[in-house]
Amino acid sequence: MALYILRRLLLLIPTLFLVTLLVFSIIRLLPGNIVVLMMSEQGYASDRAKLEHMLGLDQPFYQQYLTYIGHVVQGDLGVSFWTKEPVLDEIVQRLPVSIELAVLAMVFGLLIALPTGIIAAVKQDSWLDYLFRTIAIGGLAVPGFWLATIIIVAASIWWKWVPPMRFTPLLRDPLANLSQFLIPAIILGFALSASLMRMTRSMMLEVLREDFIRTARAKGLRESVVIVRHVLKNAMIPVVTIMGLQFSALIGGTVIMESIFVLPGMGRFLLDAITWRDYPVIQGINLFLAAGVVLLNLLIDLLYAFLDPRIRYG
Amino acid sequence: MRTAQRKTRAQRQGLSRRDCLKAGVAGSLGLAGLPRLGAGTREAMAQGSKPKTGGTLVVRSGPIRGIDPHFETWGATLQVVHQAYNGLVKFTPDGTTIVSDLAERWQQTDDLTYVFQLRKGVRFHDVPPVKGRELTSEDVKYSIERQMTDQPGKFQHAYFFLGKLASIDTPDKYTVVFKTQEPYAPFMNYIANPWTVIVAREVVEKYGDLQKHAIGTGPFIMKEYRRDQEATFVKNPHYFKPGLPYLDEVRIQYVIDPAAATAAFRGQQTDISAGLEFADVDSIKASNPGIRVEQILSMFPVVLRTQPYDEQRPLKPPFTDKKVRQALQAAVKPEEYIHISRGGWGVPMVGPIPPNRQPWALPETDRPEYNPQKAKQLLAEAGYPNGFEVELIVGSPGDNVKNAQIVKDQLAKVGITVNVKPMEMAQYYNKSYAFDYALSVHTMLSGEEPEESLRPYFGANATYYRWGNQEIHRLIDEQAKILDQAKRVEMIHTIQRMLLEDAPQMFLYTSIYHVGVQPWVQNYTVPVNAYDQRYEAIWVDRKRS
Repeated sequence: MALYILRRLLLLIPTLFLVTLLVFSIIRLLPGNIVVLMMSEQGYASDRAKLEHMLGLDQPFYQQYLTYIGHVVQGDLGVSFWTKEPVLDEIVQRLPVSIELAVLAMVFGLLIALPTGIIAAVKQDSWLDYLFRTIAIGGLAVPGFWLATIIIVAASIWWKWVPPMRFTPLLRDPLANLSQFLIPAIILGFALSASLMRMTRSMMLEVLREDFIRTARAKGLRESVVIVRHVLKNAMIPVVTIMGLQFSALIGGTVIMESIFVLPGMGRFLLDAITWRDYPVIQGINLFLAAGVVLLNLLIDLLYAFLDPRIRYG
Repeated sequence: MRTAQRKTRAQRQGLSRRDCLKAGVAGSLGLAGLPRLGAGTREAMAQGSKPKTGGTLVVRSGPIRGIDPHFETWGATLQVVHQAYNGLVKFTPDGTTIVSDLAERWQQTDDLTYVFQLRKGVRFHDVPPVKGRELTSEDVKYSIERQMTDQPGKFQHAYFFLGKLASIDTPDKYTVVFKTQEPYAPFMNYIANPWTVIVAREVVEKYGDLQKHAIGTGPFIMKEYRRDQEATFVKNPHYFKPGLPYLDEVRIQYVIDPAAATAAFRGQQTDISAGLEFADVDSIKASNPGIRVEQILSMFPVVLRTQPYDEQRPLKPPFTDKKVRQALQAAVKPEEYIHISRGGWGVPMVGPIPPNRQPWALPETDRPEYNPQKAKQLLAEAGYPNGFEVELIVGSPGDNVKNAQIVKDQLAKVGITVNVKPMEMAQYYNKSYAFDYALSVHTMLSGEEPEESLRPYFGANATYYRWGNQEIHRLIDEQAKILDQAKRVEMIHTIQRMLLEDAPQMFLYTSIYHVGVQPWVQNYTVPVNAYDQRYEAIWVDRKRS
């Protein structure tokens, strides 16, 4: 197992190298040159050549990339072209916000999906099954930004209440922090729960028809033990896979929630960086996201072994 | 289109064009006859109530990149900047008059020389590295020289003075003498510009720049700054204006999403909120009659631009013929854009200078006539009786995507087929600033200085647009040398009329947007320049809710 983990961690190096090369190339191929953008900002510079030199964009492509990689291996992701802030500092400030939102959303997602998925499977074709499946379809169909807007607008009109829109770091005041995260996390969790619930239900139905479940029941195990210990555990592998994918998507993909609920996370930061062609920021965020996805996949693979003892790594 | 027959929302609500132009002026009227008092006291008396000290003001703000006043351009930066810094002089909220700030008095001694006498005893904030030291003329010299640095990334406001000043002298601690190279009419407007503030050299040297630190002479001392979150200020107890500021704390809070900002205002999480969604204005007012919702004309007019040209990029057919451009001018109707894109909240433009910039803006009588028949006739005379096909680029997202569709609809009525090509903003800006398009819908900039609506668009080597009419270039250069305001106004009107005749752009409309002010916020006049936000004379009276 240790060797397997080490091998997977070593694979991180070529993966991240490829990611840096891809992101570095693609953002430079996008239409919309940063130099022209900066020049257009009320004449950011009178001399285009000077500006290109300042940004290091007057160098040949390979040289720019080698310089960048040289800095990255030393832990330096560069500075934002626009704000001149070190990219690493900016990411370190925002990453905890995105992780907290993603974790809370996953928690709420699971709190909704697991019970409803289990009940829907166990009570297949009952009114409860239809109800939960309808809600799940709703969760898939209703866009989160619409729900979020409706919630804050309706609450502000009817009760003159809005969730706190002043960001408070978790460690400074956990209660204030959670009160700001609560609604966006529930909304995101509701959307996540839809596919989790449907996957839980269908996998549960599949496992419920397996021979070993019949055996477990024949042994006289209580139904709750059969469902939780045998059915649910064996049904969880695809659910965990989906959770992993959802979590990765949440880290950088909650732009609208961040905008609406004033959360200084990675999503808005990445969108702004792309809009303004802030190459070092785009590169830095993608590097972090790629590393996160690879590590998360590793974690999920390790979870498989826990959920299904037949899976062995070595 | 039926909407074309309707009045704009502003007109339906009984707001005349004149009212719109006066928007934001109320607080500054009627003060001239009052004896010389502290600014805050005078304004308090004008409102007929006694100022209260203490309390916190929370103001909604938009996206911000950094807070260096000399090198940033985004408007929200000024909301932060003006709490911490002062200028030599400043505009009144109506944007028409220049009044004292750090300079006690000033005079123009000849065509090239401006002498400013600083107030004595003005102190920087009592924080390191300035530790409350006195402001001197050297600080003024340093600040202006810093602002006109011609370096990449530091050029945003350099054009105010770069290449215009011959010298800045400081004969004593409290006197600054500016000499211009030649008569320079915009000088005082740029000295009063909200971006021209006085900073301390030690602060720049300590922090390298002013992107995260705002230490000046202003009414509030920055306590905390978190980019994209908030800036918190506390009262400067040694502020040079007696009795000011009234507030103990000001918090500038970033809420980007307009619906969330409106909800935050309804939920009383913010005290002043600019950019309320126009669909919500009536219900907000109905929810509490004490709430003030002020209407302010945007500084950013929307225009339809035809192909730019200069010596390197000659005009291409069909725009080589002036009649084609004039046909476009006759085929567009600003009211439709205002109705459809802005829900009726907007004012038609006449020339490039927004109508509230008096006396520089052209009168309504100069507005080109909407006449589709004339447009068809002009097209026929130009050799396009059946119209032509043309591509229009527009940056997405934003109101201009809707505006582009209206252009398509309006021009179709005179036989012109417009292919709208929305593109991501970065791509759009690249096309736009490479002057590589046939038509585009764009949002212009403007300022207190009328030249800002002319030179960057229609002057020689303009930054944002190119129009190779050399007579217009010459007149734009000339007007800047005319120190007699009446003659300069005349010249600027002439330039605008030439632009209407040449028709490189169709000046469509400028938006009216809404600023919500909670009932307990007292003595706040929404400035015509929405960026010029100063909260030193505001007080809060929570009993008024």
